[in-house]
Amino acid sequence: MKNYEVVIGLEVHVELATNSKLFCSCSAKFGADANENVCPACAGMPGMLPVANKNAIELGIAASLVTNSRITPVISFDKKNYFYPDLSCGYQITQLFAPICRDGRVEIETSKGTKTITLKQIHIEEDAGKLVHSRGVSLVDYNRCSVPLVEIVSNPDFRSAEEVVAYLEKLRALLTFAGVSDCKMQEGSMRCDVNLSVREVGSDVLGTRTEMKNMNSLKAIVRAIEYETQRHIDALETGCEELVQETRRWDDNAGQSFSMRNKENATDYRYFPNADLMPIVVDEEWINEVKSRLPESAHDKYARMTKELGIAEIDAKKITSSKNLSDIFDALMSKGLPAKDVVAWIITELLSLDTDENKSYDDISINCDSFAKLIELVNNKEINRTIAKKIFVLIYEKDIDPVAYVKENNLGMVSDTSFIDDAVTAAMNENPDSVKQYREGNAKVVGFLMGKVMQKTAGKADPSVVREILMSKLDN
Amino acid sequence: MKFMMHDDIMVAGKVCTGGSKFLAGFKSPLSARVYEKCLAHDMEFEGFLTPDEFSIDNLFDEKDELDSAVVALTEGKCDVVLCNDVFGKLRRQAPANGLIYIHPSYGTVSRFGLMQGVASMDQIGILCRNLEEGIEVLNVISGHDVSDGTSLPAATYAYAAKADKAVKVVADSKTFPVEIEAGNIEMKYADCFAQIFYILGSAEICNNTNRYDGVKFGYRAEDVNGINDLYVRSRTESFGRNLQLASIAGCMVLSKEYYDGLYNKSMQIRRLVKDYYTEILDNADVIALPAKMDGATKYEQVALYALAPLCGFASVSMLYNNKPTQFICKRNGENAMFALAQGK
Amino acid sequence: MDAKTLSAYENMAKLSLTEDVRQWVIDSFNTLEESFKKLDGIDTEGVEPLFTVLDLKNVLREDASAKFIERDELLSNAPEEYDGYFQVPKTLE
Repeated sequence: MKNYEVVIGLEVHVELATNSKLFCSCSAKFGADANENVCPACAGMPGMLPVANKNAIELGIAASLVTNSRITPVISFDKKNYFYPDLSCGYQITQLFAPICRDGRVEIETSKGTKTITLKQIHIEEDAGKLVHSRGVSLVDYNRCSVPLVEIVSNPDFRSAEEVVAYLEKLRALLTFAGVSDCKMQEGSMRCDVNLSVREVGSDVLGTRTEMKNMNSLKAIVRAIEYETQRHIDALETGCEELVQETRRWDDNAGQSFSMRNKENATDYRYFPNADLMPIVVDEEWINEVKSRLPESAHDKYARMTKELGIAEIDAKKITSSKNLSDIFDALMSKGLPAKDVVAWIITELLSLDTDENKSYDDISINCDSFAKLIELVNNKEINRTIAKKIFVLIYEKDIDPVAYVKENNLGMVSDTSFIDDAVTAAMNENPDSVKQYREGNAKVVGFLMGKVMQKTAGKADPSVVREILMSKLDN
Repeated sequence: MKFMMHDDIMVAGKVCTGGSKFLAGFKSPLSARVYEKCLAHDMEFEGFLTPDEFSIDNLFDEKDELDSAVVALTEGKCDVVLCNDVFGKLRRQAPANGLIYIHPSYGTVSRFGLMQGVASMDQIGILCRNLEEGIEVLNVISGHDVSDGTSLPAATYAYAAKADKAVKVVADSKTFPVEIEAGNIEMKYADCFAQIFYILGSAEICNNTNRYDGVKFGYRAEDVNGINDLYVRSRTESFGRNLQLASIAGCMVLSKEYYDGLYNKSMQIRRLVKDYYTEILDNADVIALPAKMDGATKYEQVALYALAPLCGFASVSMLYNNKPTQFICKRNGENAMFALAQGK
Repeated sequence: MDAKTLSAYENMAKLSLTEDVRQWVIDSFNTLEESFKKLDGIDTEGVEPLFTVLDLKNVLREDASAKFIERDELLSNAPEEYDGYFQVPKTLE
């Protein structure tokens, strides 16, 4: 068998984190009931005119900045014609002639080292609606129709699924930290079209390319790339099928791609400039203004955590791998808590709460005010760690107020030595065998006796005081 | 003042068809800005008139039925009619019937609530019996609208038929003779006006009427077999032939094969036209053109009506010295044009 | 305009012309296409295409959301609706 390499280019669609849609004022929020966020304009009715959302343009500029792209001085919008029920107007407003930027660069890291992926362009466009298929009919929901997105078009620079995954994760970090998008693949706010071809190693001619559209999970993307690569190689090696340039549908359940014959292939979209939308000048001043408002990037945050706050690299890396986790970190830090405590609580407690593998760090949601109060209670020795961990679970699951909860349930830590002294004496009296064992040289029973004392104080005693008193009595 | 509107200018809660079978029974969810402004100025709405389908004139049949707006006004049903005369039908018919049509400068009157046809040229205008009333209505309906991204910034306009000095008129008396004393100009590119108008116009109409697909509102064919059949039959059964022709032409001129040679080239010529005539109007107040050409087909006559929409200029079409005449001016040159038209 | 070309445009426009309309469209097209030849005589080399006559720039709105219309009203014009959705024949095979 000859030596083959896969050549992949990606078109990544990312929904912009705006309040309203790209060309009308409907809410862009995810998760509303069908067609609740729809007006005559985004339902394709006549009479309304598009007016561009300034924030969407600025998020487009931000996306250009974090991908090191060359921003177009004057951008404009075009119309792309095609009929499909999820497209209410029969055309999509997008950018063909003057997209927001071109020639970007994104650096990725893989097991083989660092590599730069080059971008052809990024353009701003409207999303389409959603189709639900049931009862032998299709149902159309236009809530997503005209929600702003950027399409990030890479050059065919990828040579493996690993590079693709590294790139998508890097893009997600860049864009979420910049506030461009929440990049939630499971909610469809980040989707990916995979263009793939295979050629002999050393060849500089591209093979026949196939495209898989709307991929929305990293696992599915990896599987699809592996499957499609093998299909191409088999076709080239054995001639068992002829490769044609086409759009294919990836069926993740079947683990197979299917040809979408007769559809979408060789469509003439008849792009032309949109006369309803005036050109937009993106000058240096505006770019700098957007740049100055960009939040701290993952890269800068990592550097600050490791260099200024003395946080271990492995922990800093974990926290900065997710915008959400970083936000939780920042929220706790803003309460004036010591960095080492914040990191310890996040890494050892928060991240061990939910180990469901389908959940990512971005899905973790916790009331940071309560979280901070809890850490304070521990640091101020008002509750002990065991009780704190139990309360932490309640904060996570039921959003309780830790201060009120401690008070209501009388969980405050007890350091009163005479009270503890009595409990220690009682525990020793009730367990003479253990005391005897200790005095015969078995130090292991200390833990057992500690537990008994804690039981007697309803878990509220300060463990360090308990230990001190217990040891002094045992050793006497 | 009593006004009527072609029903491609929408009113909330009322059936607005745009003259199309597709929209028979379509209840508008919104009101056009011009309608709201008229009501706010105590004008009385006397009802809708049915336009040609989406105001597309029937350019390829020589039969010239009177427009519903012309009929309503000559019958005295109202004082003015608001309509979107992009193709020139009203500017052709108004003078012949003793009426006046005011075509405002592009961007001065909000298009919000007008069913979109040729977006880059659509412009709600005023058919009236006398110029003073027309100007009064223009002052009512013009002015900035945030809901129209092509609306010019001036909050209001105060148009009047008044000129500070003698109005300088120019015309191409050899090719386009008019009954008025005028300096001579060459109507350059005029033999391409109709073509580029139709190329640009059909593309925009084709695109803007994609929305009429039978999915969300309007006509849906019965017993369809799948989604493509739903599209094709709903549209074919409900679209008139002028719209079908414009749709086919629009697809052609925007197709990969013809985009550069026809569509892009028309946009380029449009720039040449705009630059040339803007310069002429930098040195004169008004271009005078006949409002009809005897012996020319309707399509050929589009050359007369295309200049204003192609360049975004304002115009007045009327009988002048008993001849169907059209005066054209640049934005902010309206007062001089109105003064000339008024004979002041 | 031959039948095959016309049918390609019909497919793009989602139309299926009836016989009498078809003949009329072809006749009108002949007139149009003949007239389009005039464009060849105009030199547009290097001319920037004009898609709007306005010189407005940066017409933008603030990112505030507002509800324009209740769903019931939006759906009131629908030829077929189900449970808040617009209903169409099944689009997937």
